[in-house]
Amino acid sequence: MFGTMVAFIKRDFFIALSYRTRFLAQIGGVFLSTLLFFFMSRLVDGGISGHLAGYGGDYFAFVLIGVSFTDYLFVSVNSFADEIRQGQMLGTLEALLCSALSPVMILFCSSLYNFLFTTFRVVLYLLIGTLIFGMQIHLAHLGAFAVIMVLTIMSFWGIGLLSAALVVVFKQPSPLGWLMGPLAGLLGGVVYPIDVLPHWLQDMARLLPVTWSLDAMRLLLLNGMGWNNVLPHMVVLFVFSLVLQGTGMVCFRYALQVARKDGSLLHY
Amino acid sequence: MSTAQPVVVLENVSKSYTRPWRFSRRGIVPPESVRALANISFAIHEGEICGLLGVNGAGKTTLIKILASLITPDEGRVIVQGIDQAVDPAGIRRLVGHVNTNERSFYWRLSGRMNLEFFASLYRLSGEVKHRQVQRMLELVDMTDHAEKRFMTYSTGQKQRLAIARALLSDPTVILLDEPTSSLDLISAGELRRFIREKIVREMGSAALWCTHNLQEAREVCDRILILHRGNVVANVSRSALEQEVSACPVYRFDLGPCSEEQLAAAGVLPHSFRQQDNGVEVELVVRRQELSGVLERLLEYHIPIFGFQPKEMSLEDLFRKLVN
Repeated sequence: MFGTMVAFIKRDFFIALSYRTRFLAQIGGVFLSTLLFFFMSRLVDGGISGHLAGYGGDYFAFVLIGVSFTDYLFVSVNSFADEIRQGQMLGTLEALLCSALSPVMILFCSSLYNFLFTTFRVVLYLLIGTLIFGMQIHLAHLGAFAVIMVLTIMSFWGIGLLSAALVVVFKQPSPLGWLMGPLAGLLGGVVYPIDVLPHWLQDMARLLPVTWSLDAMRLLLLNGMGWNNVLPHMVVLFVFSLVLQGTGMVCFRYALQVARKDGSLLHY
Repeated sequence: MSTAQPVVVLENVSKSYTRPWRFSRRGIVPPESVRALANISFAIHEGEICGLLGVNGAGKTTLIKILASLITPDEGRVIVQGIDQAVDPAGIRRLVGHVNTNERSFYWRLSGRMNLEFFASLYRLSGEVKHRQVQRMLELVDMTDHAEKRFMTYSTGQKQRLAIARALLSDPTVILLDEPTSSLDLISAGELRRFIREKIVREMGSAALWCTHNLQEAREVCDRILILHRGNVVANVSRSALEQEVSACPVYRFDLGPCSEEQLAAAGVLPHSFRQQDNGVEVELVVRRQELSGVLERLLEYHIPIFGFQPKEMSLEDLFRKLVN
């Protein structure tokens, strides 16, 4: 199994490397984005400092954590759907589905490179933030951070499976991909704390796993809080991951079954 | 019939597609069911190349995709080496090598070897075993010298060879070939046919289902030929039986003076093609050799001028007409 996972990572790494300019631009983009957040933070810091009290009071650190970790959501929602969609369009899907690997494993393995690259970008964001712009982060509770990360990714994978199921059935880029970006931006607490929202929108925001995930990461990394403070987040994210993974798996398998039945699995 | 064990058995396999509702000039057309395969039953034996012959739309690709587990049949059973597809589709996929000649099914920016190593990993091959198997397949398809080049630089023939190597990575029991020579020139197509017959089937002992609409190709390469017509098997014969059939009933092309189809029918001549020419008609007839003189006599008796006639290679179309009629 490990060999198969490595093979997918190698495939995507060498394809990405063959487009050198894009590869380098993605890395350069991290530096430019960090610079953008730094100057933006100088503009808004005083205005919302009251709302940031619970997160160390530094808007630059708040937004950097929000934007960098939200990448995991986009990667989860888009990687699975893109593998199916690109496979349908390019013709590689048939060769993949004829193999002995299960379709769910194909999706899982095909997202690994994107997850690794996102992790690399997140680390780069944090390194640039701390080393160049003086951002303070606490690494005392890396165990709790790892649990939050795993639960976050599990929840996002559930959404990714739902997204892939929609591509299999509707043969179009997943509408979930278009929806999740603005929704996370608006309600997820990516660029502002959710307590600036009206109460009814705050309630809606708590229905998104990204809200709980970012809140927990900020508490751990920016406030230096520990296991006890993020335990409720862990419970909620665990429920999210169970429900979303279960629903995503059932929907994706059903979509495949329908597409195999009506012969449209490879249509686009 | 071969005495070898059957490796693939299809029992009463049927498949229909639903055409969704649509607008036409007459209004809304409700959904309708289109039958692609009707009660297909046959077996492929060890070391046998079975030709699947049919015109476009006959159901060949549907049948191949059912065997590759990409489409689920509505009814019937598919059994490969004793494994029922409905029970263990992943087990079947391990035994079936699908030669997907669509060149877009590879990663163009990776080398041939990297492509094969990636696909080998999908069969859970890893480490030294994977490297050895990939090297073996590259040698088998004579691509070792080009293995490190990017796939995008390959010629069509090299791409086809790599597609075959990919299908053989799991040492499959049966290979599915869907019109593998369709985009090759005559020489490359001949080489590929020889290569599959001699190296893949004879040396490796795999069985093969070779899908084609080229009767000549099927006669050259296949041990047994199944003819599909509108989703039905209209013939399931050995190559020698087909040869006998073809040589016993050659097709003759006649250049005749002006006449109508009714006049020909009155003379007891029922052509399967009838074309008006400037100075007469051109007809094609399937006639047994011993009946040829009788046909000529009847044409003369009915005062239909004969400008000439010559035997012609039997095409798939001619064979269909003969079988279906």
